[in-house]
Amino acid sequence: MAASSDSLADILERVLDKGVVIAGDIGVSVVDVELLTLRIRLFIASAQTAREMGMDWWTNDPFFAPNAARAELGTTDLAARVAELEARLPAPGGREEPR
Amino acid sequence: MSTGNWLCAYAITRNRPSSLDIGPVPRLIGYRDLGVVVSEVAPARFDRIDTLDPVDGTLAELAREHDAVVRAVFRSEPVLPLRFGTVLDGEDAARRLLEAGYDQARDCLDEVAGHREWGVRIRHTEPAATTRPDATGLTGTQYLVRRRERLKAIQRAREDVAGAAGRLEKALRRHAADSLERARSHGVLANTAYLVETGREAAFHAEVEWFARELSAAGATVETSGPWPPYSFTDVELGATANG
Repeated sequence: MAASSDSLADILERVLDKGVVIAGDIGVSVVDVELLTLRIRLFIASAQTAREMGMDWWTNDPFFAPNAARAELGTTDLAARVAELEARLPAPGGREEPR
Repeated sequence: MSTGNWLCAYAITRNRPSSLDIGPVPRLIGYRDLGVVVSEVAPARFDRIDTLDPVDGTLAELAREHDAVVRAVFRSEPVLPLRFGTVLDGEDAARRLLEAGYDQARDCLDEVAGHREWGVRIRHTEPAATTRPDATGLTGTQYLVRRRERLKAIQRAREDVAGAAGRLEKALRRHAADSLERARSHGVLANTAYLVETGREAAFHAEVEWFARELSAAGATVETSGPWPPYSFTDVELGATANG
């Protein structure tokens, strides 16, 4: 049996892909380099917005339904870049969408 | 409101600061019997993150940091890793996070307590079906017979590996509290995460070793990774109900 080894790839796979989701966080469920980049862009978007919105951003703000968030962020250059990346993916973030 | 620094949140755990060996940085913010582990983070650290090489740049550094904090907590307490890049705006925000997700978080913590996550990956690289036998000195019929035999052998090996892999997964699921298929990259036949109670880990690994021999004979390799904090088994959404 191959020895147990937690490489950087293993760490990235787990750390970036899973964990408790907080409402308003936009998640991406698949790991590869393209998506890593996307994930980070989303992170920057959500961190930036968190600061703008103050401390309640994850609880009772309908603004933060993923779709609404995308529409609002559409005014920023960053969001445009996120959208461009998303357009290249099959069903982006589908797992997280409220139906 | 904003302090100029955000709080990077790593994990939810039990509110028992005395049992944790995480030092003053990062720190634990408590609400009832739950706590969230956070550290101050300067926004500037994230400025260039998307322009750097994901393999060895700021992203790798931050991911390692996140993993190191989660593991430090995990050494002494059950832990729910938070999604990488979870940012809170101050201590009140951290407490509200725990308040909003209290029941869900406590239930999930109870579920993963006493368990560790193990990754089992089966790799199988088939010889390319397009390689042809050396035709020198063979009649056309002999050549075609050889070629068919070769393709049959590849097919047989594929079936052997798939069969053994299926038996391995079935056997491991018997020892695990939960299991989850993870994304597979090229050449990876199976990439599964198992949530295993610490008392059953020996049996779990004995099973892996047993089937690894069979798979190795069929041309596949078995790799394990871990133990991990339960990254793959904390798929809960906090604040989702509050969001409507």
